[in-house]
Amino acid sequence: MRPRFAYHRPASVEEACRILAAEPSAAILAGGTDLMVHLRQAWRGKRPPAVVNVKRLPGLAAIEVTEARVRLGALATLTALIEHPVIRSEYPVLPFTARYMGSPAIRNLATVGGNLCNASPAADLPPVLLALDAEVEIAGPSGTRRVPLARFFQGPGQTRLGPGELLTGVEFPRRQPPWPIRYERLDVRRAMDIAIVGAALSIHRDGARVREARVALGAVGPTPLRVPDAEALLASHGLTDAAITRAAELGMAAARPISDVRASAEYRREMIGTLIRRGLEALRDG
Amino acid sequence: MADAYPLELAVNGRRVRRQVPGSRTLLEFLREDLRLTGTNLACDTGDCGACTVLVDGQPYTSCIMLALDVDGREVTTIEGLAARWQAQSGAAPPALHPVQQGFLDEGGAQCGFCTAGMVMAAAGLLEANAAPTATEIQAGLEGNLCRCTGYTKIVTAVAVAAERMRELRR
Amino acid sequence: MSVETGSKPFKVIGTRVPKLDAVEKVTGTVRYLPDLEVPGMVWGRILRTTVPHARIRRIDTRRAEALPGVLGIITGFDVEQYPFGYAKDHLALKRDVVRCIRDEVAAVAAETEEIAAEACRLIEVEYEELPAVFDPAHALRPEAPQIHPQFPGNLVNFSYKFQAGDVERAVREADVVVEGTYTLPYVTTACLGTMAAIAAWDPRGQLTMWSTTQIPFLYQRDLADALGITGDRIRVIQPPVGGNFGRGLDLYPIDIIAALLARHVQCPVKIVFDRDEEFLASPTREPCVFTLRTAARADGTLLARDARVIIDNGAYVSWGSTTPYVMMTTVAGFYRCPNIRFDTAIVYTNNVYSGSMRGYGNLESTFAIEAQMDDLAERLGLDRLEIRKRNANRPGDVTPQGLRITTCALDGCFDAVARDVARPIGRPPRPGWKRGIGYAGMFHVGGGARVYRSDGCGAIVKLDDFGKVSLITGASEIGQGSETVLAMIVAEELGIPFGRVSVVNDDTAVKPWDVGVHASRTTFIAGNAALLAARDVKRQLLTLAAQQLDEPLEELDCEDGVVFVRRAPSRQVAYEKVVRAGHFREGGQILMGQAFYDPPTQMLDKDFRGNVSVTYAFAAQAALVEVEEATGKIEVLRVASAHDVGRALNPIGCEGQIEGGIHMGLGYALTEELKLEQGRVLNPGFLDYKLLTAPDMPEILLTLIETVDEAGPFGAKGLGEAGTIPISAAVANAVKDAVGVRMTELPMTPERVYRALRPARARPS
Repeated sequence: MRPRFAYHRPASVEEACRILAAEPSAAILAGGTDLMVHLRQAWRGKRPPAVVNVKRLPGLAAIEVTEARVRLGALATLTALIEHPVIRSEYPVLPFTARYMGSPAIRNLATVGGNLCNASPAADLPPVLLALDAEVEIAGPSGTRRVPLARFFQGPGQTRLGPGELLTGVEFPRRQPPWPIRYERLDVRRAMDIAIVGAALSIHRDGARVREARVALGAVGPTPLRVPDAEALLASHGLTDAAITRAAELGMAAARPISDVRASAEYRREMIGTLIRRGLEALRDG
Repeated sequence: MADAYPLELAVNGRRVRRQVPGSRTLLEFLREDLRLTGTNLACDTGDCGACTVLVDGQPYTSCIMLALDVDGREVTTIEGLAARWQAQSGAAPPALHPVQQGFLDEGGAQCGFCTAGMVMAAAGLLEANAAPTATEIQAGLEGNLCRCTGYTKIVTAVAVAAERMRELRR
Repeated sequence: MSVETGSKPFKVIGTRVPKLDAVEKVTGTVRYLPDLEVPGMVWGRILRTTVPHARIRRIDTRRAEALPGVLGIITGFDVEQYPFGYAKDHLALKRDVVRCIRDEVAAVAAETEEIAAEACRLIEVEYEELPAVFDPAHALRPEAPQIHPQFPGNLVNFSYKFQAGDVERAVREADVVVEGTYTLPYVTTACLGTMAAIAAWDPRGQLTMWSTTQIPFLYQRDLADALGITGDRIRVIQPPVGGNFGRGLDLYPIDIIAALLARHVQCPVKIVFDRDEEFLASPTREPCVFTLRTAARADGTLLARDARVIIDNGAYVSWGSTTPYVMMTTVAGFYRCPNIRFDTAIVYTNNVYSGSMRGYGNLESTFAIEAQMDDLAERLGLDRLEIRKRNANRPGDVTPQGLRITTCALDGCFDAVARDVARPIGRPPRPGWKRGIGYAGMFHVGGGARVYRSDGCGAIVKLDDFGKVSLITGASEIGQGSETVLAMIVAEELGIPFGRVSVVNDDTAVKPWDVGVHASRTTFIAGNAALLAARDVKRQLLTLAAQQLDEPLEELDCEDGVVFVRRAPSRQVAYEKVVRAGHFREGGQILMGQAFYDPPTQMLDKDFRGNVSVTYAFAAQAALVEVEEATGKIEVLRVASAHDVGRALNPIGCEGQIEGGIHMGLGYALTEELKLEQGRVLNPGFLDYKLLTAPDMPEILLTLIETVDEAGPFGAKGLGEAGTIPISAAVANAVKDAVGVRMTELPMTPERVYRALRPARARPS
């Protein structure tokens, strides 16, 4: 049971942005898998926000692949991500990661954009998309702007979306061949669980040489984060045992985990090191 | 902004038209407006799957969906599953959906509170995957919590149902 | 094994019978309490405190009352109510002081659930916070805040001291002594269906309650006392319930408040807990710290056990405080052990209060005892199965408390699980994971449990003029399948197909008395009652048929719904004809048998001695696990579970109980914990109170061993809790086997295992 809330159902992105500009405290409903939970809690505190349902806005659910880019519409569901043929063949890490999230029924609802805008520090897609060099597309009163995903997150539940702004999609470069990437996650149950920590690791090799690396972490700070010094180290030293160990240490040093009902900060910090090491070793051996 | 919006959809094969407030969930709409109480409310947060229904043949947790978001679509609840199966297979009433029959025969229901959602999730799984492995069945039911059975008999029930559906198709 | 009685093979008993209520459940036509509507019904909702220990200074309901759709509001200050609970230590609506975060301070009746909730939000309560205590060890200190003035020192005034033999001498003379302290968490039944109640008063002042209780007759009396009326004015209806597992074993404020609200607003009131409320305000298993010493000879023979348990009772007394009855029985009785000392401290704190939950004290003591069986084996260089079998209970044993073991296949259970757990698994351990096997056994009451002066159950069997049979039983169906197995017993005894028996079991105005669903007693006790009632009606049937067939009674027998003459079976008459002939004649009669079965057992006396159950159930489990040292993750790959069930009346039901029990026990072992911080529940939802999901479940290999107990209905013993009890101990022992660390705290989360593996490096924050 939720308190009755004010409800808007815009017919276009422009109308949605107008409503959001007029009601800056309004909540955006896409998949609803998080918002509908939060709205229950409204009994315990202040009045519920107005809800702007964007779920059926046209054109935002598409997954588009061009020569150079992959674009995930904000309303693309996790199920769509899992089933998309190009994603499956070139970016199996995305279906792999999406399957960690919720259940089939939840994944039929939950959207890529919602997972980003909800800005949970423990969300699974952000580290992977960070490692894919994603940027987000934001529609607003003064048109559309793009923000690197790494700058999108501001804190738990906080993003760079301003008044009147709506996330419309997320894009990343389509590299041929795709850079190897892994998502490592620690949890307690095999399903319906939130990551204790998560790490996305990616490398770009030129022949045997590592040219670039990505290390992106989840659930170890107020926002998902990249670890640039670890990335630089790997790019310069490659996947040697020493570099992997050092990268894990740098990841642990960059982590600012909290203790909560799921794990202690100390355990999270140790485990993020373990996952970074594990992911990099797998990339080295794979 | 209106207080209520028109909603038109098919529920268990029947066309339904109502004025519905924006904040009404699909589960509330089914249980309270249509008095289809077979779908249970157990968590209200999408974490247990007891409220699972099919929308256009796909499983959804109805407790965290707005009723208005199924406008124009086809909803099947546990009460309509047998009829859906009869329409699909040509089986004569009162034939149950093979998943229902499997749960019945194999001991898949104890207290039964998860059963409706579990059966719908399983039916949705079998519409997408006619020959799931035991692991795929477990994964298909991963969002449906059961406190009574340990899932063992449920997984068996779904496997038996899948086999029966394949036999009937041959 | 072959299943026979006399020369006649069973027709129904031992077959795999789907549950009677399964059709309604798979078609969505079942009506649980939340589905019910009573004409004129309104919604109730409870406002709870926001601070765990405080004096209520003022409650202002004016804003809430002004809300359109609000019909009435009650508080502890303005209703007549009486203390309830085992220790009569609280009121449903708190007056003056709140003592834990679930405490009820007001209740609203409104036209809709939504309005009732909004009204609760508008009630202003001013609290004066009082110093609180959340740790039982702190609560025992002299300077600790006192929670109930009438219980000084925060001690619940129940003493469970048991002594047999001379523990100190045995310890001195032992070759080895192991000791340990085991910390067991708050867990909760987490039923899929939440607690709910509908209360309706009629103009004559009679109250009808639709309730999720599992003790309808005791509830009648307790609720009457809490309302200050007499029990005859209360009728209890038990709609199908979405699980219970002990949750419904006591009276809780929801029922009293529903009745008070309904009286206040003069219309029926329905209250249904939402999920958060269920986690906050339904009973928990009692958390405890269990300190145990076990002494043994070099050959592994047990000499002594010495146990002290500190139980966090929470703010009020419910069944959690009585679990030592069972803990003690296991400490003093599971495996042969002559010298015993057992003591407890049951401590009031400002935490939510503990009640009963499946396994009831036995998971806790079995966890400690079985850890030490392994520790002893390790210290003595003995095989872990060997030491268990050396000390195993045997038929004819009498435990130090005076429990008389009759049938007992504990040895056979260990043999079965040892065989099954060792079957090939098909793949080597994954890199970084280590594999281990652990064993644990259990015993539990299997023939009722005399915790009240009566352990009885009534049954009525009615044969109608279409040959249909109604079993009207006192026993409640809470999803466990009792009505199905009881119907099977009646069908077997009366010689009719199972489908001709229906069961009435949901209304105190109709059904005969029963203590309630607990202690794995229903199949045994209610089964015996049903069997006796069926025999009674069968005798009446044969007597009436003898007149019709003009044959002596001894010449008659019955089968497949007909009475026949033994020497000339073609001379026969169908049951329904016998019944009709009884109806349509002068001086007619109906065919209705009845029985009350109260087993020949004893309550524990003041020294905690007495044979509380007619027979005892035994089981063993083995767990095959893999542990990842780098993270501390445990994966249970396989559980082998073997049970001395007496007789498997309905194998599908036996398996379902065990498999579900294993799920619940594995949750206790691995993932479930209701986390409290400063008395507040941190994880009141399924996201962070982690029930295992379908993909988490291991392969389960079951063995049912039939010892055919002569006291049980067709030889059956109780089974409902057995699957839950040993599994956490078996998993802990398997972890020890895999990676060498003894886990002493549940649940064994990855973090706890990781810390245990690296005691020096990782320290708690």
